[in-house]
Amino acid sequence: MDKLTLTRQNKNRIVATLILLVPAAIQCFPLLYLLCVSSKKGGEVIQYPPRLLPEQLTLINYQEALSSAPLLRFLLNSALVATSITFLQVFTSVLAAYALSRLEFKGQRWVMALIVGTMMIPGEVTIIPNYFTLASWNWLNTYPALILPFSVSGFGIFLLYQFFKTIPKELEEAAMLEGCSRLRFLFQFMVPLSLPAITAFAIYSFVGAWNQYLWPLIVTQSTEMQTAQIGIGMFRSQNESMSWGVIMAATAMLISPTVLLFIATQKQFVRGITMSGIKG
Amino acid sequence: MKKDSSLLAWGLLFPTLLVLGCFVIYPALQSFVLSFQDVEPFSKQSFFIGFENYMVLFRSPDYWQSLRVTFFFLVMTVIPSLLLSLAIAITLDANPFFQNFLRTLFLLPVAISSSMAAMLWIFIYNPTAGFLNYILDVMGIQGPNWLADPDYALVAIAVATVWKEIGFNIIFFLAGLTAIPTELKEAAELDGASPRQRLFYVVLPLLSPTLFFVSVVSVINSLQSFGQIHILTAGGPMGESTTLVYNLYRDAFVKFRTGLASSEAVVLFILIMGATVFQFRMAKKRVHYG
Amino acid sequence: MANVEITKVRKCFGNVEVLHEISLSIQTGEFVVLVGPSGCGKSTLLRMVAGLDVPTSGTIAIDSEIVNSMPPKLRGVAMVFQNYALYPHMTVRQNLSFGLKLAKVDSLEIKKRVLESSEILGIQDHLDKKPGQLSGGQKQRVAMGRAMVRQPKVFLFDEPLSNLDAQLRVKMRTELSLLHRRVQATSIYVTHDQVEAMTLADRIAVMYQGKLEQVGKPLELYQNPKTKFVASFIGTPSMNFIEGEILTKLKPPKGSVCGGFRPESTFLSEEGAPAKLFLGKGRVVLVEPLGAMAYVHVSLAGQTVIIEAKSEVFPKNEDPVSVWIDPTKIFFFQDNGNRL
Repeated sequence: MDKLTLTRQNKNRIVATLILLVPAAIQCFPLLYLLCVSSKKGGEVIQYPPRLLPEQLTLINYQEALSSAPLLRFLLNSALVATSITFLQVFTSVLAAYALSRLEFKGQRWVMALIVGTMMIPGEVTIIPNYFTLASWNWLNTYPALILPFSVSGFGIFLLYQFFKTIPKELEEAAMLEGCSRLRFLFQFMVPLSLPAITAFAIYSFVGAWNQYLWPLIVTQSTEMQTAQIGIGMFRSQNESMSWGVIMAATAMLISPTVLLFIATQKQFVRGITMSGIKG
Repeated sequence: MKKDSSLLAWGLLFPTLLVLGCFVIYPALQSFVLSFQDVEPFSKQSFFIGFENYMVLFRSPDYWQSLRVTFFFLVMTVIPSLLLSLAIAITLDANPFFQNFLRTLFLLPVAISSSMAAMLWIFIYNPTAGFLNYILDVMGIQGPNWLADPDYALVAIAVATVWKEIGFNIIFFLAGLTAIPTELKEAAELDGASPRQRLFYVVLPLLSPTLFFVSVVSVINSLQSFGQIHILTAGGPMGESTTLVYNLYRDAFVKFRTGLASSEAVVLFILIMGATVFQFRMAKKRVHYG
Repeated sequence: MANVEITKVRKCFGNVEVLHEISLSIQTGEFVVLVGPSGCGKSTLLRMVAGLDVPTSGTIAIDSEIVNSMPPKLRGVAMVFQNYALYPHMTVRQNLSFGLKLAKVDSLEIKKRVLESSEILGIQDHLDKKPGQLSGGQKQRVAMGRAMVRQPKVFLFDEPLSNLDAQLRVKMRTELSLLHRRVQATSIYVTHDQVEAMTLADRIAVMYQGKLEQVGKPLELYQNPKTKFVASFIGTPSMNFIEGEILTKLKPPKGSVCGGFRPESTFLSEEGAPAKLFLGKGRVVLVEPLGAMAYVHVSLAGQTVIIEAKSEVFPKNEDPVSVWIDPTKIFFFQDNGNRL
């Protein structure tokens, strides 16, 4: 009896596993293909019929990619820009969300409406004037140009505003009776208590910043300032004549940090993204 | 006390308002103003020309083409990515073997940007050495030159986009599925519902808020797609993959037609708003909030 | 209507055995309450009758048919869940008729049954509302209605009243009791609240740590508990236990023994009942007056004894008092918890 029902349960699991087999294979194929092509020797890449696995594993493409473009610099630029944006967005959101959720002042509702309103404006609408603004300040091709326009997130303010609202007011009153100042309460109580929401937003913000394409494409002019996203495109168009193996090797190196980071922090990552979505 | 708190509030809001003012509100208004102006590319002098930019836009067959391309791209990315991710999420939720491994695999593209996703696919699409045409060749089909063929370029970009977007959607669907109380599924089981009936009468209706959210985000994302197009086709061949955003980019930063590009930005803004409002309208009747 | 026969049912989750060879037979039309502290396995047992869990070994039979491998929908059972499990996207009417529609019951018949049961439960005015618009008590009634319309062979209740506030809980308990008298349906009811168990059950099955401690009529459990756990679990306030040396004229104890006596057979004076046994002198630590009587907590030889005092004047904290017990109402338990 027992075994019979066990197999019925297992049957469902086996069916589910089998259904997922094909999409799973398709889903991981481009990544595996990337690794295979990037570790093939020059001529083998364009051989016909193509073989999936390389005849002979080689790292020569990786060496060549590294020597022909500052890939590490691209990654450092991306890391610097994305971390700065994340930090600034979290910082400004915490301050603004606290003011909006806990302090009383005239015009509060208007400010809130304004901030929520900015969430509706797509980036494409602002890039042209922003480009001119930064050009007039002579800021093109600098880190601040990549960072500053994104140092505030209406979405982050809204998310933290919602979260701050759930923290009981009595807690703040109790702390204030004991002589705790507003700012001190914000950083010693609100921030630690809202850590789940803050982490969630930070992850969301980092992913968004890291993946930016259009803006960095416009404001970076020299190779040293390019982020990974832009660098790979430039690398490809400049080396079109070069072996595909080298281009794929460069892609693999530029992709690996975030992929590895994702695998290492998948749980927080997923929680971060869902939380941002559900609250928003 | 109250005065203090008001001062503090404005102090805390200062950085936010400064940045929003400089980089969101001012430029948004400026875009609107520029769309009624003709801006000289070099001297930067501008003249008010009324609706001329909009007239030029809507008289241009290229712009109509980019509208059409954007619409097709929207349909080819949003619908498949929603359906596939929903199906995969539901199957993943049914506790398959290697659940964690499979989940990681499907979610992985979330960590990959659209430009990197394009780089992953670009060689697969290579007409002579790429794997796709090799497989088609084995099956006896002559594969096209995907990215250079006006009939296939947009499809090819859409496939790479769907591949990348699925992971993001699955995250939300899985979260939505876990949020459905087990008791409800059990109650339906006791009520005699088959797995299929449970899916259609209980699970999907309860998932509808998530479905709605994901579809709104997908539509906005699809309308704003840029990186993968820039890398895979640069809008070609023959403008067959030039979307509204791509057209805007080219007019603004390649051709330096600032006024015209600004009017495109305004139209894009209206379209995105319109699509979102439309979805909210549709959802009013069909989304069940618990 | 049907009987339910549970025979030597075991349940393991991984390596942990949560139910050890439970056997219990429930007669047609009987209302049996499974009661015990949380984690005792009572809900697991109920879910196995429903078919939501599968026993590791042993058999469950409904209407003399073994149902172990039968899917829930064929078992003819209906269940009322603790958090109601109403479909939030359907109206009350849709909630009630969902199961019948799936069973392809004729739509006129569905209408009739929905109306009938909603009248019995007094929810006929709310049929077109969604669960979100209902109060806790109304949701509770809808959940019961959903079970009733299906006219199941067996009703299963999984702590159905525990999400209600105290007042409503008492009211619904009474209604449930009246309803059962009217419908006479075989019912299995899970709760951790012994008062609910005492008031609702034809028979109570007390469970503890995955075992059946005792099965019997409510008063039988109260008056004649077979184990120390049953003695302590049934009755409020709980039975007093005194361990250690006991005056032994009454029964010869073997090894270490524990004596139990209920608060109402414990006294602060020698008057009244005949032949009282002097327990000792102690100090009052707490008085809980309830009006006509009070529970007096007395610290006595390092242990606390609760006494149901019925006089007009209750002692005060710190008062020295003498404690007597009715020797005919003492229960002795062995080390292993079994009654002597």
